Amino acid sequence: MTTRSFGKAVRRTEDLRLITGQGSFTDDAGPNALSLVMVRSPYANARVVSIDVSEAEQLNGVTAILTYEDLPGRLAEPLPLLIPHPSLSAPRTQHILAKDYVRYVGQSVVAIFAADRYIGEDAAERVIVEYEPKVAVVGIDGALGPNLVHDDVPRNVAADHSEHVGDVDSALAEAPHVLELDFEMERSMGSALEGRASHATWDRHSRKLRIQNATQTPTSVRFAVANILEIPDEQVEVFAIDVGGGFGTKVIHPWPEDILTAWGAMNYENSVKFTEDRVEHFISSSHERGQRHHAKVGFDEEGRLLGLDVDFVHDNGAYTPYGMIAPLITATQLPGPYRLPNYRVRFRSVYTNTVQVTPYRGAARPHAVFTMERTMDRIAAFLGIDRSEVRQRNFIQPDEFPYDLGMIFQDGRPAIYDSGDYPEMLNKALSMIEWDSFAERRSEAPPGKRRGIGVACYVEGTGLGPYEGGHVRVETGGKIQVSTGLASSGQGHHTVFAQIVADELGVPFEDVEVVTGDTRRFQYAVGTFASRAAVTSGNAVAEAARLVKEKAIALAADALEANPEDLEIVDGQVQVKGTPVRAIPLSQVAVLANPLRYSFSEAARAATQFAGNGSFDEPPIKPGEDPGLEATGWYSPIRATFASGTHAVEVEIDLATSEVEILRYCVVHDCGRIINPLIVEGQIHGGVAQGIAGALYEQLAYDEDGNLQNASFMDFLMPYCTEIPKIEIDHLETPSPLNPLGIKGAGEAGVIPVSAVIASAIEDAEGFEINQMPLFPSDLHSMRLASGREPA
Amino acid sequence: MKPASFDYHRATSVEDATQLLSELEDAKILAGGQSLIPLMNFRLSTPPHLIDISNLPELSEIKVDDRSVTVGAAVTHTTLLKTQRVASELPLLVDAEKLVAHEVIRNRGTVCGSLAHADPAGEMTAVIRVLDGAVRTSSVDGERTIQAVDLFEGPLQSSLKENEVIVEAIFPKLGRNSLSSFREVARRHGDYAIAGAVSVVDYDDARSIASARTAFLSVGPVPILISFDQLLAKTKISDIGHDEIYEIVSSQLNPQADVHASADYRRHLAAELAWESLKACV
Amino acid sequence: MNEEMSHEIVLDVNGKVKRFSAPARRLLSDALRGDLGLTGTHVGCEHGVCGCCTVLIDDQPVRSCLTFAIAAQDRKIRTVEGLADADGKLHPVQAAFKECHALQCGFCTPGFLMTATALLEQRPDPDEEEITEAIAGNLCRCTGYQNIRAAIGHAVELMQSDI
Repeated sequence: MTTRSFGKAVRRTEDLRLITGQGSFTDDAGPNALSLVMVRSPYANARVVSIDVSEAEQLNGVTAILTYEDLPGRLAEPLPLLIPHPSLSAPRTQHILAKDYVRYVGQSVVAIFAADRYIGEDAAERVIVEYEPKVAVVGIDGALGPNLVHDDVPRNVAADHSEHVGDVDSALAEAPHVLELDFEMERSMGSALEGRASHATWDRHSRKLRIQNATQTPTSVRFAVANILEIPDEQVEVFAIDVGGGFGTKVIHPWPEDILTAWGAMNYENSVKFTEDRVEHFISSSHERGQRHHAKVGFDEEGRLLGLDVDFVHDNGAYTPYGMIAPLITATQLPGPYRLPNYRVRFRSVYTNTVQVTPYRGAARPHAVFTMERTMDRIAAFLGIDRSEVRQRNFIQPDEFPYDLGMIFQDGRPAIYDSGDYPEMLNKALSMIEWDSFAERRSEAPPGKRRGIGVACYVEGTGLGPYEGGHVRVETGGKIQVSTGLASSGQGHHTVFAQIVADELGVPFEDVEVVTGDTRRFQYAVGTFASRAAVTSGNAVAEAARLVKEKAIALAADALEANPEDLEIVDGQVQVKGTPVRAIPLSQVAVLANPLRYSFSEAARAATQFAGNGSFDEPPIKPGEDPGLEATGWYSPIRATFASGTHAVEVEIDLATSEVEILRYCVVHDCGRIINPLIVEGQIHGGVAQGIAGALYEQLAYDEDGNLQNASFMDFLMPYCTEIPKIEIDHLETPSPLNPLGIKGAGEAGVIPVSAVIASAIEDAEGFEINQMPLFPSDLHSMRLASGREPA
Repeated sequence: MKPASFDYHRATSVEDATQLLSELEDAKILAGGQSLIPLMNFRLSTPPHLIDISNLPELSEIKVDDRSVTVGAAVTHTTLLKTQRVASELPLLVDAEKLVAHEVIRNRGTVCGSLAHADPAGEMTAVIRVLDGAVRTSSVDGERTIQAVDLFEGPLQSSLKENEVIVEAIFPKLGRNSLSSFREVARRHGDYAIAGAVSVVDYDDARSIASARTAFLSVGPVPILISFDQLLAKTKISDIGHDEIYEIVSSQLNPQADVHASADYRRHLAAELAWESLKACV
Repeated sequence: MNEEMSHEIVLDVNGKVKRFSAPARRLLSDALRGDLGLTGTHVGCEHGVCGCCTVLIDDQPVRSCLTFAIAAQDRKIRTVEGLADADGKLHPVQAAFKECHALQCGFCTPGFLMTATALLEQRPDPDEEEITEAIAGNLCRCTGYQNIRAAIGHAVELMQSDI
């Protein structure tokens, strides 16, 4: 047997180039490309009265300056609405350059093509735009007020959507206890360390537009560019080699700059590059998380949920390019791991004069979990029973799968939980954090400190469709080339897909080379988001490898004069089971798979026409076969697979400073079968860190005029290592029955329950209600004063 | 985020620097650049000329004598932090330096540069204020000494004239019977403090308090000094009551709110930190 | 409008003398990446907070985005491209980052590698607090830092076993 690598902590193949400075991020290429620099709106809501570029145009090194009026053809249309939905009654997307109005600070108004970014910024300073400002609509209160973001969208409502299962009204009317609760989360953002970037080159000889883009989905960039520039798809090649973090933001294509770099490259006889700077990333990419929830929950004496009615408002910013996916995820993921016979949810997605809102890692699940888990804690507090006990009494049991929520998930298909063991997961987490003995530790808190403990559970729909594909090709040199269309931004795809292919095909891991996110290698793909890459592309490359294996065995059977059923592939050799002396290396099978007239190598002689292969009764390529030892495999899931987890945390609060210190952070995580524990744990570490950031450090603070007040890393407090504690992890593996590998997604999991679990622990420590996140020491200080629970 | 164009001048001496400063319009001094260059990258500062003094040997010295530690204008935070004699003769400087940003910024940033920058959140501004130190400046008009109390006029506003360059900062040493302590709270380690307090307590020979004062950072337009002489003279450190200190401090400070903290929280924090830092002067 | 004045700039990078002409405002980060093609040094914020652009100048880690190339002449600059041996043998810090899965997207990694290298040159046997203090000025959005810390600890072991 070839040593299996699935499940092993294999070291990453990506790392060598990245630790030696040989990575290839988008901005690394094209040092002489024209630089695209945007003039952005300083107003949140204004009419564009006039634009004067005459002085800027005079500057040496400026190639061209465009305003909306200069945009030809489809470039003048609004950008596409990527995900329409029947409930999205008033979708709005922005123009590439502002047409008459600007609706958030940071919106692109003028495009400058300059010799470099320095000169481009010089020119930007010389562009004179006259605005007529209007009242800005900021925050959910602003959206619900009298002023409008889009004059033709009444009440600022982009979408008003409801779903229900069971009969909530009766359930609540009959419930022995009913609580009404309010929970709010503020804005944050993915904030990858590499901003958005695109580098476009037009090769007029081959008539190809070649685009390197910092994207999670190169096929989206390709089809968007081809469509808007009105050129054939075949002329557009898009690839993402290294991407410096995505976290959801790099799914939302096309950005105005994607189109302008491509168009500029075709029109200015020079490649064109856009490299977003940090301020631009804050004010002109995407945000998430701003949401306000009202929940009404009915339950019995034991704390069993009888009915839940949730009404929430989602601040979608100024535009809705990604439709209403984020609030829809909140709506469908809110029930979590609990039996909820009667559930109704309604949301309104509303416009504000702020940066657009699209999914950021976790994708509106943190809000769902915050709402549900805070609700469970309140039920426990109301009845005076342990928080873990309330959860145990409500869990969907392991024998209840598949469990149909009765709702439609974000992939447009039924939300049906496929597998899991929520009671066991909670038990593991409680034992890790030593839940039962916490009272002792609480009493040992040093003077001036309070300790608290919290727990939170979640279920996460992952690995959704529509599909991904993978291609596997055995080279005559012996290397196995694998490609898949979705892109990588740190998830270790090159390693895990190699592990899968190595095992399926029976070759050493080291012989497998993976390329992701290159439309020249693989044309069809959806993208890397929704914790779907391992599930979809993983199963697709597995299928491709199985097809290659079948083909290799058929070819080898001829060469070895053996029955295909008697053959196996071990360490890259096709051999007769039990008789390894009768063997042929895969590289040689690859030679035989491609009958040749010409030989370019010693090995290839064996496949040339006088080598005596095959029978004269059949053509060299038999009917129904293709040359080459290669195959394409597809995986299209019937629906999403549901991962789950439980987090537990112990905190200590300094009563003088109100700083929250995390003493222990424990995670139990179930993503089905684990391909590579090193990588899964890395994903959890990073996710939890982002969750802690969102709970205790980060927010996006707008003033009443719609200016983002903290658009820098000095004031947007992304944590350093000094703020992130050690994270302890345990796994549970309940394989998914939905896909052959039994895997579920893991990319977003870490971030999802963090705000909920930290709120639970702070509430436990302080004794007053925590209903909002993030929570800064300043907030906690004033909440403690207001609660009257001042330190003794 | 690229700086606007400027002309670069590498000064060959302090005299050359002051000459250039007087001749060139709106020129700025570049030492470590760790405060200036971010402002230039944001184009919040667009000086047409930069005069680089970072390589001048005469500005690279730390002198320690009986009365003070004198730090030249090209001395980096790291150099000050790692100078043994400073640690033994005026440990407060080392305590403060450990809180200045991160090591990588301290490696280039200069002590005098942060004073010239006059950021009320800067640790060194509070330190020089509590020590009643001074800076020595040079210009074509000659040299002068500016006491710390007169140096800071507002947020990022110093009393330096346009043609003046700080050549050194003078930090008076504490007496044998004096102790100091620096406390601050920042949202992230290495950030500008939400509030900070640096205290000095002078004792008499009977180990009673002769004098006590605290300088605050991040709670006003300039570093603010509060004297506790009236309250604490002749008392023992163990007698310092939390509530009295808290009351004095919170009644005298009027900080601003920002995205990180409310004014009330800042005031509360400053009061708590004053108490803590005073108590730590034992 | 008038052309900006260009300067002949000479930098000593990874032991090699490099000449190019650029305006005075050219940031060292941009000079390394654009003028010298050393794109291993990354630019994440351009205001000195994230640490992606960290290089060593005279063996000390500094932000290349807060340094003008023209002012870095006469100094010894080291970048991530200079860490491994000429024959490709990885520096222990590099090897440890790979072994401990201390990177995901790899964008912040060069800054961490340079910072850690300087730490271990100054303090060959740092304790955990010193490791934390040294990398406390570098942001990573992917890893949660746990494996980065572990990697620096592992690099210490590798360096000691190398002797």
